[in-house]
Amino acid sequence: MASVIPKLRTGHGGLNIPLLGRHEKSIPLVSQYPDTPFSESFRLLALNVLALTRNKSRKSIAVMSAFPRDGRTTVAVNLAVALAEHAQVVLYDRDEVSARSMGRAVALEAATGYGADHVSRLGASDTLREGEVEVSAKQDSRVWIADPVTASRNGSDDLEGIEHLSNLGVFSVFDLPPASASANAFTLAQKVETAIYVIRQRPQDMNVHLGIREHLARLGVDLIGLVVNEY
Amino acid sequence: MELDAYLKAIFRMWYVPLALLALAICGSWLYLNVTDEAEATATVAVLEPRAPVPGEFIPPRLGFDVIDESEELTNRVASRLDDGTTGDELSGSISIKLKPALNGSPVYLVSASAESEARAIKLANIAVEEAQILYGEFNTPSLKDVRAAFQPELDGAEADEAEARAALSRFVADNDAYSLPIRTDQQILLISQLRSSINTASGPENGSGTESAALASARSELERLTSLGGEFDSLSFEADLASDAVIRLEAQVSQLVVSGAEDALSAAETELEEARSRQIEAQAAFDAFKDEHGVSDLAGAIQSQLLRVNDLAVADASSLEGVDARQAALTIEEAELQRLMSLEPEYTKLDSALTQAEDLRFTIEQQILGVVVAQTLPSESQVKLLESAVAVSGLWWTMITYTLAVMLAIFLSLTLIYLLAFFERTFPTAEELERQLGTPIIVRIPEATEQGGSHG
Repeated sequence: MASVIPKLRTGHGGLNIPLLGRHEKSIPLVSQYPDTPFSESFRLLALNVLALTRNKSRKSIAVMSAFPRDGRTTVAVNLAVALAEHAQVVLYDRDEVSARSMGRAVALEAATGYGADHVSRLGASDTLREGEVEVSAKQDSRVWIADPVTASRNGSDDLEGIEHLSNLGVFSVFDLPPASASANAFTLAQKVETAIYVIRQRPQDMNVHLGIREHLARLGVDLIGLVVNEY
Repeated sequence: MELDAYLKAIFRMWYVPLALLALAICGSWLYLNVTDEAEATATVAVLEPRAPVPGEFIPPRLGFDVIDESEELTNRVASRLDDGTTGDELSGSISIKLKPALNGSPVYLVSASAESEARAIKLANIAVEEAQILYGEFNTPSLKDVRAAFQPELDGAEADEAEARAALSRFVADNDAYSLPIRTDQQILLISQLRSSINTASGPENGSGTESAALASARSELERLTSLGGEFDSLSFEADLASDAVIRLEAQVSQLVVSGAEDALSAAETELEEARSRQIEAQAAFDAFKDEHGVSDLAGAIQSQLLRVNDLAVADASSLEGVDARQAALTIEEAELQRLMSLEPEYTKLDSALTQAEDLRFTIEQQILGVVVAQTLPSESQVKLLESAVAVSGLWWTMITYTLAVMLAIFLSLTLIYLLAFFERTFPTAEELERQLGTPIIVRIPEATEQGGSHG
């Protein structure tokens, strides 16, 4: 299994692109904690997602949450990696920096039709950037990472692109912006149609979640389950 | 907040009531240890004045339970202790409270607190004794106050008396009417004797009709004596009044000595001294008057002189020869009787007015002393010690303190939990989360740690 999120560097030897955002703390990856409750929970999540989307024509899932730092990216990345045990996966990461950097680092042929600049492929021993990506633990894992905003601008029909991927047997995972901070989350969720909702276990106002839940229902998004982030 | 949520919050925050209960118990223990004082209580009954009949006035009195408000009580108790304790140090350690009772005489609890049981008992017993005395003193009317209260009435009575006395004296002086009733009686007797002498007389008139020198002298003496009457009576009255005041004040002082009311006794003794001075002055003036005019009993002297004049007048008349001469003497005396009798209505009226004024003044004086003496019952007769001081068990107070502290802790903890739960933002349970969002939890992501691996 591969670690897909690079550790960003600035200055000499860096990416030479504007830094729009970064994680204060590196994201824990299932590859770092093999055979632990942490990695097993994502394997279980992947199985649940596959089971709950079995009858859907579109193999895609949006990872949503209400607030920043709920662990949405962690869930999305690790879910993508866990899903990769069963299928090829495209992870649409909202983090443009990481998406672009990875896109530049490993340019793949665009099986999806979105162009090599925005779609990347992680193979068994692919390296996104020198010294920053863990070695893949599973030889046949494959994960593409794409910028969802860029993806939505490509092609005449967004749904067509996702369906095209589904037809190719590729599972799409969307890491959406926080729902309480960006309406894009709802826009993308409506396009993806199926979502899981991440909640970090901490004291909070449940009314916000109830409001988001109502919006999703109104937009026709199928919220298939909750992911409680306990760390 | 729903009851279910509140109960869950109580269960979740079990440490809050526990902490507050521990705090309350520790606080109570500390309080009881810091303020650990023995207490003793004596029981006292106070006789209340009977209910007044309609129209009767019974002066208001201070209640026994206000005695402890007086610094004098603590000062006196401290003085009795005679161990260097000051009244200020005892302030707050002595209290007198009315014991609740539905009927009967009011019962008071005299309590004292001290560092030891023996001292508390001693303090309480001394406090009862001093409170008894103070109660008597506080409720003893001051002679000066009573006199001041009656002064306008007394002044009016004295003025009326002086006016009546002046009117009578003026009338007596103007009309030579001193001892008018006696003189009238004597005059009637004289006339009767003269008439008898006329009946026994015989022959024509043969006398000069001139009264003898002895009769003239007797008449002159009688006139002198009657002229002294007004002043004599006035001085006599003043002396009698002063003497009566001394007698009454002596009785009051004796009463106050028994009751032990020191302040009232001191005032009464001062009054007595002043009254004695007035009595001595009045008596001296009266004695000087009597010495000066040679009369000790003016009324008796006048009566005696009247008899003498009558005898001489009858003798003179008997010595006259002939009916005419005796008739002439009789006519003179009848004219005098006529004059005296004509004065009698006005004299009686004025004399009666004077008597009334004197009575009124006397009554007021009596009333003043009566108020003072009648209200000054010995304090022992009003305050009855039912039970000497005994130590009070602190168990009840200890239980009350702990109970109140525990109840307060429970109440505060329940309130605190309610407020905390009301404003608390908690993460709901899995069931609540699924129920509220209508979506199942498909996975719970634990913390990423190296531990918990399933190798093997």
